[in-house]
Amino acid sequence: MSAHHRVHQQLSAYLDGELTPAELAEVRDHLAACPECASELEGLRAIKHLLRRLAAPVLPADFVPGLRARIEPPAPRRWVWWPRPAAALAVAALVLILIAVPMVRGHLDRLKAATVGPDLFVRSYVPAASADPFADRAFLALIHSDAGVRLMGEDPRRNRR
Amino acid sequence: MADARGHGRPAYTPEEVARFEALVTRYAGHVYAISYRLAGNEADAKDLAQEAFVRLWRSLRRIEPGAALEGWLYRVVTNLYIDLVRRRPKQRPQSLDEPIPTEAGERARERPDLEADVERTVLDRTIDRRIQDALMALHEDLRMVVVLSDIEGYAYEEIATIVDVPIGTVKSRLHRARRALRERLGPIHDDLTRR
Ligand SMILES: [Zn+2]
Ligand SMILES: [Zn+2]
Repeated sequence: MSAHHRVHQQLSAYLDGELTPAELAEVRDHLAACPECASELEGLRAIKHLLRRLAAPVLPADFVPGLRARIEPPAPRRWVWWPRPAAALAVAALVLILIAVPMVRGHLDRLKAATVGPDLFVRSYVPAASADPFADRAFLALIHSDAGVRLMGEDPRRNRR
Repeated sequence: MADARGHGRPAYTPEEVARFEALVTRYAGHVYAISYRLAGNEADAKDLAQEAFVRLWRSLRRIEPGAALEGWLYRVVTNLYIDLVRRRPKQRPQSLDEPIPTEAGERARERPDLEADVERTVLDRTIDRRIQDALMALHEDLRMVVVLSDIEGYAYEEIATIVDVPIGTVKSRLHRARRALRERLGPIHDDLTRR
């Protein structure tokens, strides 16, 4: 790869201060001698500045009320909805399937937490889970199944039927 | 708030609820801003950002106080957004070859004093819209890195963590994103800085 091509690829990172000292030196030397790269750099800089000047969108007034409503669904009615026993049974079966697999690891971790105590649990399990929430099977279940969500979201130490 | 039967949520203590509400107050604006720049419209942005906080609510006990919550929330938002895009194949961004409609005439009428106070004011609504349109024309993988870098000001390493790709990928996506935006938006910037 020629110096020109290599530097050309580095111009965005140069603009962001994300180059190693060696890369930085090469880019600087090349920019002094290459009008094409210098002009490309100005174009990229212009875009970066343009985006930075975008105003932050205003949080809609109903954002927080809407969030509250999503967190606190209007109480137990939803469980009475199912008019036909067959439908209710189907849902129950689906929920079972949805929670059975992801539950194994997440639930075991939490059962362990209950026995080793919350303190050790927090120090050992939680950092891993929060560093990578999507590697947590229980969390993945939250993401991919709305049906599973309700049960998954409950305090894992509570009795489960 | 919390009740023994718990439809859809753990029985949180008042302290936990207060902690959650403090987190909403602190992060809602930023999470919404990122959602808006990713999704390009208020309805989807609101839905994405609210859903991110619903996930936070459900995971509240698993998140350490002082954890890098902002990054976590952004990560949830970007993943939710990818899900949204996959569920709605018709809404995929247009290809980079399609021309952007120009609104030069309209802009000139609305904003005759554009150059005068260019460095002090935020961008006017029409220009904001054109920039947002240009963002929407990017593939979502490129849009995410450019939003996190140029709008939210994250370093490459942080972006790599949020989007879950290697730093080298962040670097090359950002370069491609800016070049594509430059092609579409160059004239706007030239307008803004002329004189
Ligand atoms: Zn060059
Ligand atoms: Zn290049």
